[in-house]
Amino acid sequence: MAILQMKKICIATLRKERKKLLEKIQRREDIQVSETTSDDSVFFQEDISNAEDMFNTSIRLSTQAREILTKYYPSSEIKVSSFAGRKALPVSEYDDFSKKYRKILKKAYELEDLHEDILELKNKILNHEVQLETLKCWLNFDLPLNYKGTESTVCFKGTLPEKWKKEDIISLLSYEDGSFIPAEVEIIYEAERYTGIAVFALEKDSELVESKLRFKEFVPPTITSSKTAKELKEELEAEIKDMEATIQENTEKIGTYQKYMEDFQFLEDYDQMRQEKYHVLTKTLTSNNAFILTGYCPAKQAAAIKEDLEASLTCVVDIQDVKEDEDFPILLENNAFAAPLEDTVASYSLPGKGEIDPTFAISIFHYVLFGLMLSDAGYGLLMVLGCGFILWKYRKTMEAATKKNLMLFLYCGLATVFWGVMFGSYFGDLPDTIARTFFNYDLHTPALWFFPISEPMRLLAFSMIFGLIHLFTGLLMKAYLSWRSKDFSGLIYDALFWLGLLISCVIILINTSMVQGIFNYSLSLPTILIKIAQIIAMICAIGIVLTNGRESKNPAIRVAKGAYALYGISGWLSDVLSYARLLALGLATGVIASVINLMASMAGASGSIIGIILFTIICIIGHILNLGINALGAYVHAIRLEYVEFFGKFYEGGGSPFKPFGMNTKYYKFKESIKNE
Amino acid sequence: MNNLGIVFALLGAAFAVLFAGMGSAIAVGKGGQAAAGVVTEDPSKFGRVLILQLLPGTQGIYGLLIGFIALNQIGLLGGSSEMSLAKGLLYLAACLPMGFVGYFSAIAQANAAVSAIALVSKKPEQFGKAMLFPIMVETYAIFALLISILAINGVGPLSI
Repeated sequence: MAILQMKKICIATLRKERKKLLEKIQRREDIQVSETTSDDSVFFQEDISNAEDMFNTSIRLSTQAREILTKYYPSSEIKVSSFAGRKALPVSEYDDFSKKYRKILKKAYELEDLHEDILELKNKILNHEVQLETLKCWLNFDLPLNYKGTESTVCFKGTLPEKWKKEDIISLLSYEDGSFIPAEVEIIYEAERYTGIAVFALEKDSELVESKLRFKEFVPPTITSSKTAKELKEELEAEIKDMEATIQENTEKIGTYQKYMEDFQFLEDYDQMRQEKYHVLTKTLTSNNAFILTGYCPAKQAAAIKEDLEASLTCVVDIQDVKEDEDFPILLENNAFAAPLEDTVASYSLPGKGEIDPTFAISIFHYVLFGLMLSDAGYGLLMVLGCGFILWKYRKTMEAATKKNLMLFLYCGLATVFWGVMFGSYFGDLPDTIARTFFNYDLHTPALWFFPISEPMRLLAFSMIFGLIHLFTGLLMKAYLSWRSKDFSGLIYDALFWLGLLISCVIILINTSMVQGIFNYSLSLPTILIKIAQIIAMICAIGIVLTNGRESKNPAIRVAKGAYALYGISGWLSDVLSYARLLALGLATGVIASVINLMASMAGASGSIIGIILFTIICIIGHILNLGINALGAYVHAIRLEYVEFFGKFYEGGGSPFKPFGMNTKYYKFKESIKNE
Repeated sequence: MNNLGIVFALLGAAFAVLFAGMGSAIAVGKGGQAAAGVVTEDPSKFGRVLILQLLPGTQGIYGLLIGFIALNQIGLLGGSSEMSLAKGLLYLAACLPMGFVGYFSAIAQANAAVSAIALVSKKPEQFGKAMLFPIMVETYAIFALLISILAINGVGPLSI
């Protein structure tokens, strides 16, 4: 329930030790490096563009190498389980890798070359195949493809669109007077859409024949060669065979690189870390002999950092307090119960200056809201068991972020079980359905509180009451913030007046017959209480009108603004009604679950083995789908209620996150504490 | 002819669910398109745009709620179904606000949500403000919800 206090840290060391210092800080992951500038000529900032290019290339190469290997040999892929997290390795492995670095990089280049060769060959094969396709219709033409004719004859070969008969072509080739041009016509190939022909004519008629043919859209073949079609075909096929053999060879060669898969992963991570080190370099100052780095660190780590660094390096570590109104990066710290909601807060905005950490407040409400909207003990149990199992199985290596997410769903699952038991929902009405279908027994599983389906208005009333509690908590947080920053007028005018007005309105409303009619209850509060409530409401309302526009000096505008602020009470009405979604979503889960059970019972009505199997299958598929959809809905709507209704009352945000210089690797992480086994 | 009452009553319930649901479906779909576009460029904004996409979905929930309350009151969820024509028409009228307002406010809220998503893609730190724009539209859906609930509950005890 806190924003960690930060301290400013300044480290000065010898230039020759700067690499060691940066690596140490990177592994510690608890210092955020800030930009350090200097006006004098002693210090300068490094230019890293060369190194930058080098790292970009090597990271790209190593990623590509892995992809190539996976493409040709899918079994070589080393899957990274998102639950198991990154593999932890001792620091000595990191240092040792520098010996292998050149060799592995070279292997990555070689793989790239092999792969590109294969791609090129594949392209060529494609080209050849297209040519072969075109040649298909010329196979019967046993003259060379570029045959033009003899001394006195001309040869036209090509295709005419659509089907042509020999007689039609002959009659096409006629003189003006109708007599046929002496020509030898041969149909070489008949296809659906075109006809391959060869026409031999006399030299003197060549122009006429050509024009007549072209008039009918005659097209010569697209391939020319001094060989006949058959010869060309054989040549192309032989080339294709050769190229395929080379591809096969290359693929096998690629196979021999599989043993470097882990090394490629290591290379990627190694250079990723080095690249980040160089990025950090641009924020630091270097001189001929010295190196200076400034940044922020959590106050409680400061002493440990100082001790660690000064013991292992020749350096000086200077710790200072952050000034009163200076901005510092935000790092939240909460107990295990509330910690999972830190990401939710960060998604909205981290606390700004002067604000408090709302994580603990929204954690309680989040779990309850989620549970209310999913409200089924069976689903909750599934969530608890699932998350619990994964957390237990990977407990040694799981990343902190994954752990937080799983804990979130674990706690939400517990809340869901609670509300499920309250509302008597165990996979919908599954126990009743099973009893009725298979044992002909009327089981009535009880609800600890009441069944939402039979008393929806009661649940609606409860949802709105819960909403009021949520909203009042927001208002109280605002009151606390005002009190803490000694803004006492804000405390009274913005928080207390509204609290008074709202509470008295609620008291008056619950006494009216209209509300009692909707929610089916009767209540008769003592008249004196109503009178007091009315007076308080009046006082608060007038107070709000007079003070909520107090930024304006002009009294008329001030009152107008105040009146407008009072109109904001309709905003409160809409906020409270927004909580009706708790009823809707809770009912939706239960109703869909009942429908699934109904369908399953219809399938399993026969009571035979097949019936039981069908029943089980329908139940499993249906309930898992229902769980998925409604859990997602519950999660998002709970967050929406917190962001809009709750945060809207007191929270602005605007802080920037604490981003320590660390290892943003994909596969491995290196810890000082791990010794080589 | 004397069973027409129940017909109109169910028509009313169906109407509320129909139009509010249609509106929300179109609206959330529109939001989804915009959200997908943002995540193509920057996957870290996923959570925020998901919430913004979801905002117009409320009308569908309210429609479902009205449908459910209406069905309950009419007596279709177990119970008798005898109802005069006048009462049936009254129920139909009571469900109209949620149906119409649900549909049109959802569509309008979709446009606001898409703009909010565009805002967040340029300035992710203004998420809080971006969220408020579509929320303003929801006020009217809530008013319609309120009136529909009041009307349905009011028709019940009438003896027409």
